[in-house]
Amino acid sequence: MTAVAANWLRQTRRTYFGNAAAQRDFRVQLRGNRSVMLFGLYLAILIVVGFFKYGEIQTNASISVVQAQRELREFYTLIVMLLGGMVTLVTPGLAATAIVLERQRRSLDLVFSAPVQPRYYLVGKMIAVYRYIWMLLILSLPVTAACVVLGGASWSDVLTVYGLLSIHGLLFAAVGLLMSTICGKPVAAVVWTYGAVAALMGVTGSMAAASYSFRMFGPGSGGAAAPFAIGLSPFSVTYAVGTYTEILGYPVPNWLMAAVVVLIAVRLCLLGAGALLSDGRETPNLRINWAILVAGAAYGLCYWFVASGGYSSLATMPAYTPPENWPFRNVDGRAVILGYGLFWLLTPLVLVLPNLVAYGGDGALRQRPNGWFGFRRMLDGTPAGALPYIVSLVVLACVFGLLGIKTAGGDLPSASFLVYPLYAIGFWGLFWAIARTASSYGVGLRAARTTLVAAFVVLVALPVPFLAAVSAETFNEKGISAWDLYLLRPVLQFKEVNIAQPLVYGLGLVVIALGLNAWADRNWQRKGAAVRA
Amino acid sequence: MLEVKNLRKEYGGLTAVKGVSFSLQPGDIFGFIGSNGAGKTTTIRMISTLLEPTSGTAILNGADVRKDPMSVRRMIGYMPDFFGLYDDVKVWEYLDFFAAIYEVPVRERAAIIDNVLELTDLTVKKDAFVQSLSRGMQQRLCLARCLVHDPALLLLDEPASGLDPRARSELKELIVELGRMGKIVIVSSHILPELADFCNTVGIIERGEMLAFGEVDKIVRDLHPTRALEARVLRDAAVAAEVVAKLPGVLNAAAKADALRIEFNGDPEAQAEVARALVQGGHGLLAFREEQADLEDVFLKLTTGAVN
Repeated sequence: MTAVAANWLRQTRRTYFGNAAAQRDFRVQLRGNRSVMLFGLYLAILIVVGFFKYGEIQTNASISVVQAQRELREFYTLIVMLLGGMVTLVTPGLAATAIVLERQRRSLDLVFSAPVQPRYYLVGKMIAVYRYIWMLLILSLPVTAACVVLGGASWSDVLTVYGLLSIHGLLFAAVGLLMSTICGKPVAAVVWTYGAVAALMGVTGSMAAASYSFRMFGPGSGGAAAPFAIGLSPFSVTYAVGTYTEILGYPVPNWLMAAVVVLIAVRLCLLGAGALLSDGRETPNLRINWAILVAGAAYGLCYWFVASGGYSSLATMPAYTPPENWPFRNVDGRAVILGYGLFWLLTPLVLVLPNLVAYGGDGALRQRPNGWFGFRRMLDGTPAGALPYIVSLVVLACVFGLLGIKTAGGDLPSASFLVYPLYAIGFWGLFWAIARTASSYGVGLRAARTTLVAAFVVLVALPVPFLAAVSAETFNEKGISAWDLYLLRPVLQFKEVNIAQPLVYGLGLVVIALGLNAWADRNWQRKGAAVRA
Repeated sequence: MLEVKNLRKEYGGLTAVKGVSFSLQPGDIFGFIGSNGAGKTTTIRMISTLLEPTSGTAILNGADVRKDPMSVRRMIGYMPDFFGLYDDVKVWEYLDFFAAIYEVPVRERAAIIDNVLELTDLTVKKDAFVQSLSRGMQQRLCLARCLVHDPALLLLDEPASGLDPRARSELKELIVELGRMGKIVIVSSHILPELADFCNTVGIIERGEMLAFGEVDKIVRDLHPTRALEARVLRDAAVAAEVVAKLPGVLNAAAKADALRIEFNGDPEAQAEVARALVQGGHGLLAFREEQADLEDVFLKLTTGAVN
């Protein structure tokens, strides 16, 4: 026992202190004039912005003390937003090429023939990026210190915001490392990293905005209670400080909640990157880790879903009577809102599905056909695990969503809610079957993935202008309309909800998906065999 | 000691290595011969723990590549058929990085780096950037990297490819020196005469199967049971051929001008008897030697299926 603990301590010390990969990268980062010039430019921008903003406040002699205080607070918020922008822009760029460049120069084999685990190497890369971000944050201290001196913020505000910003930097670095591990070329890694960060910013930004409006206009508006999602965007970290989320009657600081959620996301990204780097050999450990962490992350999201914005009031009011103009007046509103949330929370599958489902002989060796449904294959990212993965995500989201409602003290929705999970499985099942069908022709991994992306475009994006042209209204149209033919119609009705639609679509899509898959399997037996030969 | 037991690797429907087995002792320099795609690199990568075998295993000084890969990694130095160098660092920084990941204590690193640089004749380039080194120097730097943690086993995959004759000769000397230091060295190469020069053991692999394994001389002897002796005499070569043809172990003897070619399958005593007969017969023996079978001949003979 003592030996195990001593070994763990030694490994941890080796990983986090004096990590060779971090030292090497940091040495290269700071070599030459590039860093000095970048730091100089960055400081100059901060000083210029600070100078003009402060000058604007100072020259206005007629404002009251309260107004001046508010202006100084805004000045502080502006500086923090600038820092948030800096973290968002610089971190992904630093991390995106960290692994892919090593793979390109073929030095990864040399590193992993040494007694080095993916964890050690990834943490080393993270430290190098993180240290650089901290240097940029520390360089900005004189400007934020001016906010403290002038009365825009307190020192504890500044330190908490810096901590939260650096944790966001950690997440962007983790996303960059994951993309860098997945992609084969540096340019692709950079593009995908910035794409992923942009998508993340879109999701967390809207969550933070919804939380901010809840704080300002929801029940008990103007108080310190706000959903923790307010701290999930680096641009809104100032609002996370000083606010709290009530969990089971206890106020938990939002910066802490946001930090925990972001750190879970960091861990997920690093686990994914580690699994790819270790060629799946760490999968047994990963299964346990993924199961726990995905459950935690799903719970967090569903808690947010239930606790924030209008959902909270809906879920926690058993005797709720919808107003006249409420679109879900004739159906169970909780079921519809929970169902819509369930479906739209799964949209990141668009990015994941092509990599999970398609198979072929021209890519990674593990993307060979290995069956169509295998629970054991779920977490190693091979094709047989794709369908169980989709189903598990839907089931997990349902369970934790319902748990979230109970935790928030609300009534469970009626059984009509179940049509939405069915629809979600049908929708994603259809694209799963399309990818398997394309793969079954033996066209190769890339072509099969491209076909799936094309199918998304053809079935989801292209019908929009066509249907808009033939229909008088938008997808929101009441009653029978051409929009009923649109695949996403069951989760796009905001004026009048027809609960039969998701049921019919769900059943139909499941049948089509299973039929297509059966055909694809037969096709692979014939065409695939020819390709193999 | 390295013991490779029935090592096998399958990729989908393709079997890249089909149960390779051999064992090597400290000081052995093992030449791994095979054409492109024969399974050399896959075998080396499995021994270096970079690839997980489908079945079978390799045990290095008691550590199993499947059960205890980290211990194996501490004992091996792997040099792939590409350099994989970091261009943006200095030579000593590069070695310092690898010394650190091999857990060489900080206080010992400087001395070890100096030693390996001296061994690979790169001391003068210690502060140069890696990108400024010539190809031969980069190859030596790769070898220096493999040595920073004093490994028991060196896996060198095509180490001489792309090197000029001088660099190749220097590398050969270095490998011989490493063998003398008691390390097990596995070298894969296409340049067969070179391997024959400094390897004491060779293995020939084709389509994932080890066709022959053992000491170079033994393999050659096994594949050439009849050897050829050549002699040059001063006079009466035809008479000498007739005399020699009657001796034990001689299968055939033919004279051409002053040269005799004798096909022979006898033991060393019988071979000495042939030489003695030529001297005592008064033919004026000028030269007498055994024609060495070439490793390349053996390789071509084996891999064309002549043995099977």
